[in-house]
Amino acid sequence: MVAGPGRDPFSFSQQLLGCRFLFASDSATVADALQFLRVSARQDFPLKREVRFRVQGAQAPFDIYENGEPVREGIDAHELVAFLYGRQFDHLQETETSDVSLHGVCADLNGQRLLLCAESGVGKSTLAAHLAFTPGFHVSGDDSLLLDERLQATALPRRFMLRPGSRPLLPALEDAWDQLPGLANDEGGITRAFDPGLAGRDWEIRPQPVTAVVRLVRNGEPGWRKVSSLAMVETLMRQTFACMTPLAHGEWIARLGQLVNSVPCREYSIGGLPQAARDLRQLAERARPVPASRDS
Amino acid sequence: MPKSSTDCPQRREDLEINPVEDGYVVYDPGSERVHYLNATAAVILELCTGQNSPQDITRLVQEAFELETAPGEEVTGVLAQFRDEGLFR
Repeated sequence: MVAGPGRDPFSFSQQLLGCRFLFASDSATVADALQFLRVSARQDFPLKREVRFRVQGAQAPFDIYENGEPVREGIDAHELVAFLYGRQFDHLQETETSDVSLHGVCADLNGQRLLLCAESGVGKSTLAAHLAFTPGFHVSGDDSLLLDERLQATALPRRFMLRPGSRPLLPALEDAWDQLPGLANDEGGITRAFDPGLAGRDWEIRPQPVTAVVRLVRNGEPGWRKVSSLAMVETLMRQTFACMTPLAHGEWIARLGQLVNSVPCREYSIGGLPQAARDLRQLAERARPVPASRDS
Repeated sequence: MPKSSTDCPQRREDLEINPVEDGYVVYDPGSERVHYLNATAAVILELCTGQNSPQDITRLVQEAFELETAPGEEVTGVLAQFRDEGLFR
C-alpha cells in the first residue's frame, strides 16, 4: 500500500546545488536517520531537477521509491541513508555534466579558496571541522567538490562526517557531539554528521576559483614541503571520482593539469590542528593576488 | 642513406599530452592509461617525431641538458618503455 501525501508524519525538502530533493516517510526511525542528510548551508543555484523519495515501512526492512518507482527494497536504516546519499550525488553529477568530481575540502580565507586533498584517513574532515570554528575561515565542504571549466570549485553540500577519533581533537564540538546525528560505521563506532550552519558558523555553498591546492599528509615533521606538478596531478587523479565525472578521461586529466599549472601547489604534513590552521592562513596570505597597478 | 621509419620512433598522434611544470601527463585513449613523464622523458617523447633516430635523440638530449657524456643507455631505456607502453605508431 502506498500512503497518500496527507498521511506522512515526516517529510522535508532541500535543494542541493541544482537539485531539489523531497523526502517522505511514515517512520520515526527513518525521520531520525534522514537527519544525516539535512544540510543548512545557504545556496543560490538555479533549479534543474526535482526528485521525490518515499520510504515505506515503519521499521526495517524499508523500501524506497524514487519519483514513484521502486528503486530499493528490504534495507535497514544504515543502508537507507547510504543509498539515498548516493542517489542524491548521482543526480547532482547528472545535472553538472561539465564538472570534474573530486574528493577534497573547500576552505576559504580572505577571499582565497584553498582546495585540500588527501588520501583517506589523513584527517580531512577533522581539519575541515576545526577550520570551520577558526575565525576567518569559511569551510564549505569536507569531502567532495566539483571543479568546473573555469577552475572554480563548488563543494557538494553535505554534513561533515566525523569519526569517533575526531572527538578529542574538536573541543568546540564536545558538548554537542552526542546530539549530532550518528550512524554505525564499518569499524564498530559511530560516525557523526556535523552541520556547521546549525553550530552557528557561516556555511555557504558557492563556486569560486581555486587559488591554491594543498596535499595533506601525515608523515615526518609537520610543515610545508614542495611537491612536483606531476605528483600533484597524480594525487588529484586518485582523488577524482572518475566514474562520476561525465567528461572524457583526457578532458578531466587536462583540467587537473590546468589547475596545477595555474595555482600554487604544496604538500602539508599535519601535526596539531591549530598549527595547521595558522600555516594554511599563511599560505592563503601568500596566494592572494597582487592588486593591479593603478597606473596600468 | 635516408632513415627508415622503423629506425626513427614516432609517437602516436592520438596521445593526449598535458604539460605541467616538471613534465608531461600523457593520457593514452587507446589503453586508457596515464603516463607521468619527467622533464627528460617529456623531451624524449617530443623528439620522437619519426625523423630522429635513437642516436639523434641521444645527441639532442645531451645538447639540451648540456651533458658531458651522451645519455645513450638512459635514452634507450626510455624509448623501450615508450615502445612497451605502446606510445609509438
